[in-house]
Amino acid sequence: MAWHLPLVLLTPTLLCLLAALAAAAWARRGVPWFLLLPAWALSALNHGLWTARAEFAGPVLQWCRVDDPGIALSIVVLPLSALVVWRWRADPEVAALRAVPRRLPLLQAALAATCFLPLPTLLWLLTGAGPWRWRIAGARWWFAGGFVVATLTWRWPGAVDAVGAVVLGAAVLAVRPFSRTQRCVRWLLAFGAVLAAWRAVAPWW
Amino acid sequence: MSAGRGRLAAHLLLALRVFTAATIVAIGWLFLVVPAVGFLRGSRPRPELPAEPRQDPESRLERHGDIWHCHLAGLARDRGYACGVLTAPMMARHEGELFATLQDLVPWFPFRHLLLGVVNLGNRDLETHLWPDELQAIAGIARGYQAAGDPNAAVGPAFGRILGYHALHDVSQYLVDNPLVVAPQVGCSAVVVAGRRTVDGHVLVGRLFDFEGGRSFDFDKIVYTVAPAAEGELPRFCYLHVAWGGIHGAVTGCNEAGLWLSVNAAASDHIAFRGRPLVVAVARALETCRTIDEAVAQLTAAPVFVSESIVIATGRPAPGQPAAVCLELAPGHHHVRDARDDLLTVTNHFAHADWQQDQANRLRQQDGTTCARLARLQELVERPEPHSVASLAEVLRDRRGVGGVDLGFGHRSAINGWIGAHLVVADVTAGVLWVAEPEHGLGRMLAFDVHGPRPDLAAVPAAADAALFASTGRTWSERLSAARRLVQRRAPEAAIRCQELIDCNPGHYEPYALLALVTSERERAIELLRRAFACQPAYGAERREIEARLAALIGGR
Repeated sequence: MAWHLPLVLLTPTLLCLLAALAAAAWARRGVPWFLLLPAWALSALNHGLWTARAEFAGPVLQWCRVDDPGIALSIVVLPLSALVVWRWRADPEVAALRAVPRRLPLLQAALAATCFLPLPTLLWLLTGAGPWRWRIAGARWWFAGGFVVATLTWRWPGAVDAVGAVVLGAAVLAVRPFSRTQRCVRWLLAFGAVLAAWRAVAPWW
Repeated sequence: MSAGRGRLAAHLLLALRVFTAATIVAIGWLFLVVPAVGFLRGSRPRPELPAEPRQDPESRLERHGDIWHCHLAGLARDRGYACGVLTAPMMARHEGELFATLQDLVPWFPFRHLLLGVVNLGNRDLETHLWPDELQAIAGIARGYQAAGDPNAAVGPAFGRILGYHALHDVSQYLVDNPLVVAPQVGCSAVVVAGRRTVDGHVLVGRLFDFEGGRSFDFDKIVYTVAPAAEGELPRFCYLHVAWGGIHGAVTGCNEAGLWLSVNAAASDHIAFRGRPLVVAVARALETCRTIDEAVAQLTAAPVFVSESIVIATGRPAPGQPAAVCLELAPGHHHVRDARDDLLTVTNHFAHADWQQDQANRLRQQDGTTCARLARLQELVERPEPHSVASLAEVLRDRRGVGGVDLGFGHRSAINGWIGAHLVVADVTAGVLWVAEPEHGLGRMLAFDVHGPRPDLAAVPAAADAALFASTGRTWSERLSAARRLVQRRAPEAAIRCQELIDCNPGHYEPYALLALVTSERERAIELLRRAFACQPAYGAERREIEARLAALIGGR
């Protein structure tokens, strides 16, 4: 099977990750923008795919959630997050992001993934992977429960997103921000909760 | 001293970091940004149809011998929908084999992703070159294919994908010279005989169509009989053509007005990256044209983006007019070559005198197999005895060189190198096509007209070579490829495999040349290379390589 289309859909995320890699290799603030800007542009161009979404079929594309809230979010969220970083650069959390150039691309990769990855996968990643597994241990049961429910209901996008919004919202309250990283995680979770809530209601507008 | 070293190390480290960051950025752009832009620009919404397509009750798919027959009736959108629904299994096989072929030609996924992205970018406004009814037909095919369960949705939206396949022939021609692609050379041959050259004075056309996109294009070839409903102002003729699943286009066909059209790829200096897909233009000419002049006028009116020889023949020539012409069509340029002395032969180059200055055409003649095939075709057709359908079939099944030299089998300089996807001989005057069953034109040839199969007409028997193909020829290509890989790796068993190939096909040049590469004895290698050269290597590049190796071996004595 040739997975060209899913790769195209995930390109903004991958570009953000590459931007983080490039910034890790050469820690200059200007470096990631060579890839972040095309990532934003491609998020906007994904609108072209959205207009053709009636053509889409197959579980892969359903799981990639090519729908109008997702597309709109991907267009809005990435530049918005950069604007936040630019505007509130004196804030401790934002300063922590700016201090290490690779953090902004990583945050954007996570946001871009939030727009395209199905919530069950996202929740699974959050509960099972990396250092967050310990740092948000208090919210793990919420995530695990959300994962099960979302997996069972993934065919009904509104239901999945509603579950996701509740779980992520609960996680925002559960996470105790002891460090800058955890504060960033909380930002991310809050973003995710808003996105999921929007996606839950958008189909019914 | 140590401070200087430290500074040097710091500079080197910085340079390494800058280089790494720049490489990551370059990789991101090349393999992600560019293809994604191409895919996104190439995706388009499926056109809305004026009414929900339906399958006309007369539309059907049936098996006739070892050939599929698909009858399509009604408006373009309904014919397209029926085509999509009925031929979906074949489409899925074709797509699978096309992807496999692409994987062979471009083995690395990121390059394939880049290449497809660039092709999609080039096709971004393809629909502007199609008429509304043609777009509706392709939209109908997409709907029908999706209704039948599109298994390749992950490659791209169905409509854009199927639209792109209609330009595949045109795109593949401009990709032939792309360094990312190791494209096979084409090998189509066509011949028209008329008047005194045929037993009953009828106009006979024979053509062997080579398309190496996969074996399903031969096994699942479809004879379409099309009965278009009145649509727009143009007259609509019933026509039949030989192609494959999911196509609203034609490469070999004939209509009820007695007009024949078939295409042979060519090359010219004139290059364009956008235009009207040729197969769609040919189908329209079959559907709406009555005479050679009408077809030439219609085909030259729209911009094309491929260089192509189009054989146009009529079963009802006007007095004093040729029964056939070859329209040599390139982007922005064309010349018409008339049949002379009731004979027209066409392979894969432009033969009109006005193309003499064309560099690409000259290179195609120098380095390709087109001239060798044309000379052999000419030799076989210009016999004193008049031709029949069976004798033309024999000509197009020939696998010898000029003068009857034994080239073995599977030789690309032969008229039939056992790579063809379909072989058709038509009595254009009678409006009957004899289409060969698999494989490579060697099977029995069954008769069809615009209404469907003609079991009342005798089939042309299978080729005498069919048994040889079944016993040895079918696996030849794979075995030769395997031997190439072994020789490239200098594997210990390479010599044995090459010798086996020589034993089963002693007339073919390539096993000798391969064996020479893994032979340590100089005298033996020289002998093998001389033998390879005597067996007439197919391509100019191969001839030059063998000559160079011979010169090096002899000079190194």
